Amino acid sequence: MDYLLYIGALICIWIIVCVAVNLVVGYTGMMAMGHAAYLGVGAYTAASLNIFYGVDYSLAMAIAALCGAVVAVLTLLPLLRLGGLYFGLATLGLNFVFFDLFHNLGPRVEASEGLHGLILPLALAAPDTRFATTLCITVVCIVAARHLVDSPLGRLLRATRDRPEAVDAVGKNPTQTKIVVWAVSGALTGLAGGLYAATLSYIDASLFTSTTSIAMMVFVGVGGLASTAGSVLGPVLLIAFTEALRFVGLSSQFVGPVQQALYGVLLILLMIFRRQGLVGRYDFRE
Amino acid sequence: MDMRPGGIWRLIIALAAVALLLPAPWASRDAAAQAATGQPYKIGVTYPLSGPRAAWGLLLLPNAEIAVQQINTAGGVNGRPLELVIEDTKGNPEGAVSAMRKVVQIDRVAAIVSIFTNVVSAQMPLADQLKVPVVSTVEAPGLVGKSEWAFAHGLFLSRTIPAVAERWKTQGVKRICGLKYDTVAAKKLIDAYRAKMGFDPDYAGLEVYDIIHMIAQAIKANGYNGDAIRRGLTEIKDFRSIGGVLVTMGKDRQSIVPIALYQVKDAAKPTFVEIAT
Amino acid sequence: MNTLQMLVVGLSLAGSYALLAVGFALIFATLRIFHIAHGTVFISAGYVFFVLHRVQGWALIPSGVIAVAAAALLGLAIDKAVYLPVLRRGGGMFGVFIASLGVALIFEAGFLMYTKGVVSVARTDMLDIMMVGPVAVRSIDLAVLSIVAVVYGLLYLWLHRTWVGIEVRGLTDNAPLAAVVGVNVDRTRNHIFLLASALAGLAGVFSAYDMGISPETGTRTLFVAVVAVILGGMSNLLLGTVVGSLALGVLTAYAGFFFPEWVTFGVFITMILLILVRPQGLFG
Repeated sequence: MDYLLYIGALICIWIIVCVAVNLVVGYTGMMAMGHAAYLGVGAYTAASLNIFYGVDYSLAMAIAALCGAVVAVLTLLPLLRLGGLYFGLATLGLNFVFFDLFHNLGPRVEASEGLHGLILPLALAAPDTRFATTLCITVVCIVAARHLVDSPLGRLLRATRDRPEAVDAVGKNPTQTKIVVWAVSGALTGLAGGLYAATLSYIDASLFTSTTSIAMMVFVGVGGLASTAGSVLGPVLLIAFTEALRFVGLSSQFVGPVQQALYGVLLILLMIFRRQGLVGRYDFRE
Repeated sequence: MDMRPGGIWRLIIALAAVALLLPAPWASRDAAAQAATGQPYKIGVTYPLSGPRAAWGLLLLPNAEIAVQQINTAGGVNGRPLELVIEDTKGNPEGAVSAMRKVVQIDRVAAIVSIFTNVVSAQMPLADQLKVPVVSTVEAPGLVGKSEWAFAHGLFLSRTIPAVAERWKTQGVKRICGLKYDTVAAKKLIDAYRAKMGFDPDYAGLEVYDIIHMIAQAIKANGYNGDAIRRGLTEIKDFRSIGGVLVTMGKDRQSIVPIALYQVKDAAKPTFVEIAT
Repeated sequence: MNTLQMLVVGLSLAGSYALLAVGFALIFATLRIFHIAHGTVFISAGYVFFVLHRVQGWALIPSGVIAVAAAALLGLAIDKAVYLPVLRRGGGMFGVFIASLGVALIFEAGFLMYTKGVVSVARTDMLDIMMVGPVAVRSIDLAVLSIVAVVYGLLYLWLHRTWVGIEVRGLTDNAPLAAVVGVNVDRTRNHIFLLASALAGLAGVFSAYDMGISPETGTRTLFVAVVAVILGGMSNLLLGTVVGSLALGVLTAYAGFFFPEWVTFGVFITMILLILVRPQGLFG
C-alpha cells in the first residue's frame, strides 16, 4: 500500500511540473526544454535549508518556490530575444549547465554524492500523510493554473503564442507577459522540487539532467499541450504504465530493456494515433 | 481523429484498465532452482537494468542468480531455498525508491542487494524506516555507517587505497594519470594516492601519446571487453621496466579504478599489462 | 601534454562529430524534424559492423559498406514507418520529436539486451600511434579525417552540381516555395534520409572501430553533434557543420585538459552565448 502511496505522490509531483511546463509551452508557445534545472534548484534549496540550517520544511518549500521563480526569470531574460527553435535549444543547454553546477558545486552530505537526512514535518513524514499533503498541494496548483489560464492574463498568453503582433497592437507587452508566466512556471517547478526531495528522501545531481527535461516534455506531449487535463493525464498514464510493467512477469534477463522498449512503443503509438496528446488543444507547427 | 466528449473518457478508462490489469500482479521473478525445500527466503535485487548504468546491473545479475542456484543445490539456508526478486532502479534515486518499495512492501523480501552510491543513499533512509537490511558494495567510507540497516560487503577505499599504493611502490611505479576525475571525492582520492606514493603525479610528466591511448584503454576497460585486453596482454617478467599506471573513474564516479600497468620500451608502441589486483 | 597535442586530440574528436552533425543538420534544415533517432542509426551501423567484422570475421571494407547501407535503409525506414504516419495524421514537430525518442528508446533497449551494456569494439588489433615531432597522432584519426574531407567534398558536389542536391538546397532555404516551384518533396525527402543516415552509419562504423560503442553512445554523441550544428549554424550546411565540429572538438579537448569537471558546462555556456550573439551560428 505504501508503494502505491509513493507512486501516487510521485505522480502528483510530476503533475505539478507538467502544469508548470504546459503553462509556458502549451499556453504561451515557448519551447521550454530546461525545466529540470528549476526542479533541481527547488529541490536543492529546500533540502539544503532543511538539512544544514534546520529550516522548517514548509517554509523551506516556500523559499524553494521563490528561488525557482527567481532563477527561472534570470535564465529567461538573456534568452528572450530568441525565436522558437533557438530558444528551445538554449534552454536545452541550460540542463547541462545546471547539471555541472549541481554536480560540482552542489552541497552534499558528507561521504555522499547528494543530500539526505531531511527532517520532515508530520504532514510529509509518512507515506500516507505525504500523499495526502502532496495531493492537496497539487490540486491547489491545478486550480491556480486554471484560474490563470481562464483569466485575462491567460487570454494574453494564448494571444502571445498565436499572434504576438496583435498583442503589440493592442498596447500590451508580450515580453512582460512571458516573464510573468515564466516566473509562475518556475515557482511551481521549484515547489515541486521541494516535494520531490521530501518524497525521495535523497537527491543528487543525477536527478536533474536533460533526460529529465525531455521526460517532462514527453509527459506534456502525451497528455496534451494547452490543457490542464492533459497535464494530469500525461504523468498518470506514463508513470502508471512504467510501474505497472514491474508486475509483468518478465524473465530477469529482459526486465530493464523490455520495459524501456515497451515505453518507446507506447510513445510511438500515442504520437501516431493521438498526435495532439490525449486531450491536447494545441500543436507546434513550423 | 474526432471523439465525442464521452469518448475521451472511455479511452482513458480503457487505457488505465489495460495498464493495471494486463500485468499479473504479485508475479515475482524468481530465478533459483530449488533443491532445498520449504518456504523460500526472498531476497530483493535492485540493480540498474536500463539507463546509462545498465551494463553493471545486467552483468552482475547472472552472478547473483548463479550464487543462489549454488546455495540452493547445496541445501539452501537453514534448509530453505533462496529466491530472488529482481527490480530495475534505472540507476537513479527515483527508480531506486520505487524498486525498493515494490520489493519490500509488495513482494515482502527479507533483505535487499543493491549497488551504486546514489541509489543506495536513497534507499538507506527507507531501509531504516522499513527495517529491512540493504547490502551493497559502496566504497565511500563512512556512508553506510550512518544507517542502522545499510551494510557494505566490500572494502572501503580507506582500506584499498593504502594497500594498492604500497604495491605500486614496490613495483616502482613512477607516474599516475588520473582520467576524468570530475568529482570532489575523486580528487581527494587522487591526492591521497599522491600522498601515499610520495611523488607528484600529473599529466605533465606523461608522454603525450599515453593520453590518447589511455582514453581508448580506459573506455575498453570500463566495458571490460575481455578480448581487447587479452590482446594487449604482454608478459612482463621484469617489472622494473614498468612505466606507469592507468587509472580511471569508477562507474559510480567516486572510486578510482586502476586498469593497467604500462611499460614504455618502444615509444611508438606502448604495451599494456592487465593488473592482477 | 602540450597544447599542440590537445589540438590533435580535438581534431580527432571533431572528425567523429562532423559526419553525424552534417546528416542531422541536413534533415533538420530541410524537413524540420528533430531526428533524435539519428543517434540510433549511428549506433545500429556500429553494431552491424561489429557483428560482421569482429564477431563473424568478415573483412573490413565489406563489413563497413554493409553497415553503412544498413544505416541508410534504417533511417529511411524510420521516416516511413514512424515520422510519416505521425505527420500524415496532422502531427507537428513536437509529436515527431516524441516519436523519434520512442524509436531511440526501443533500439537502445534492444542493443542493451544484446550486449548487456558491454562496450563493443569492432577493431581486432591495437591502434597505431605515430610520433610527429612532439605530438602523437593515431593513424585512425588521419584516416577518419581524410575520409571526412573526401565525403564533404562529395557532399559539396552533390549539393551544388546534382539536381537532387539543388532541390535539397531549395528546401533548406524555403520549403513552401520549393514545393511550388516543383521540387519533388517526397523523393527529395527519401534522398535526404538515405544520405544523412548513410553518413551517420559511416560515423558509427568509425566509432565502433575506434573506441567502441555501447547502447547509450547513440543519443549521447548525437547531443554533441547537435551542439556542433548549432555552433556552426544551418544556413551553410557544410561549412557550418565543419567549423562547428572543429570548434567543438578543440574546445572539448582543451577544456577537458584544463578543467575536466566543467567541460560540459563550458561547452554549453559557449553554445548559449553563441546563440545569443549569433543565433544563425558562425556563418549565418
